[in-house]
Amino acid sequence: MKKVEAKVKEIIASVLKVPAEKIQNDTAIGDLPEWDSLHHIQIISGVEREFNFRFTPDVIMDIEDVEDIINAVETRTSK
Amino acid sequence: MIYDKIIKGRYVLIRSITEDDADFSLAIRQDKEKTKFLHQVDNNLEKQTQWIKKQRLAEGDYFFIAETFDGKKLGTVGVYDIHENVGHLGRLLMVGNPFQTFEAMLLSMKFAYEVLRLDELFGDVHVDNSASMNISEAFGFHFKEAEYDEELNRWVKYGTSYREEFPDYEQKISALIYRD
Repeated sequence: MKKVEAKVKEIIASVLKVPAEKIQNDTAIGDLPEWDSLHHIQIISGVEREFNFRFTPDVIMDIEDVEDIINAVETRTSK
Repeated sequence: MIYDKIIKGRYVLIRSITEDDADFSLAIRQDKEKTKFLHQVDNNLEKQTQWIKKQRLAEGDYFFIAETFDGKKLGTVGVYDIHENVGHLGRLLMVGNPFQTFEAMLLSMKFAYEVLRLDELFGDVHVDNSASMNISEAFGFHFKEAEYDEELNRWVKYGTSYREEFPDYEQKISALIYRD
């Protein structure tokens, strides 16, 4: 597992208070009862804090699952 | 009642519902997963249109459509049952992104407290609807122990939000969703 992927999953598991094994790349908002609207926003904030940048609103609107977050972080950090 | 201004945020705007929104507002109420904790509505466009017509004339009842700036409808939210500076916040049903959902609720509460100058808002949440409970508490609703609602035939928690507390919650929510 790549470093970004591992860190993103760790943040999500921590916000949702679920075991990291439950977080798959295609896990999306609503797939786990813990992943509701409030926790989704906290996940995005947690990722931004960890990687020290802010997603643009356009990017945020397109994020629906774990893979989207990983891709968004990789795109942002590769700039 | 009709609020004739459009209330704009950064992600969404809210505006009073019209009869032209009947098909959308009916369609989202037919989504079984989204509405499993809500009052069920007949899948009848004519009835929905008539309901909106009446709602637009009803005293103390504001019902908004939340949509993107390019006109994509995302959901509904309402402030209603307004009596003596107290109202009910509800009819929140969104199919958008969580940031859009939070902003739609924030805009409707700002409308209630800053435009209507209400002192309190009530809300009720099905006991199993933890997502809605989490949102409501984040916005400053204080909930009591669950009660059985015989009319709706379900266990609900009733919560209250207070105008004097709203600025603090507004600030926290704004920080969360705008991250400036």
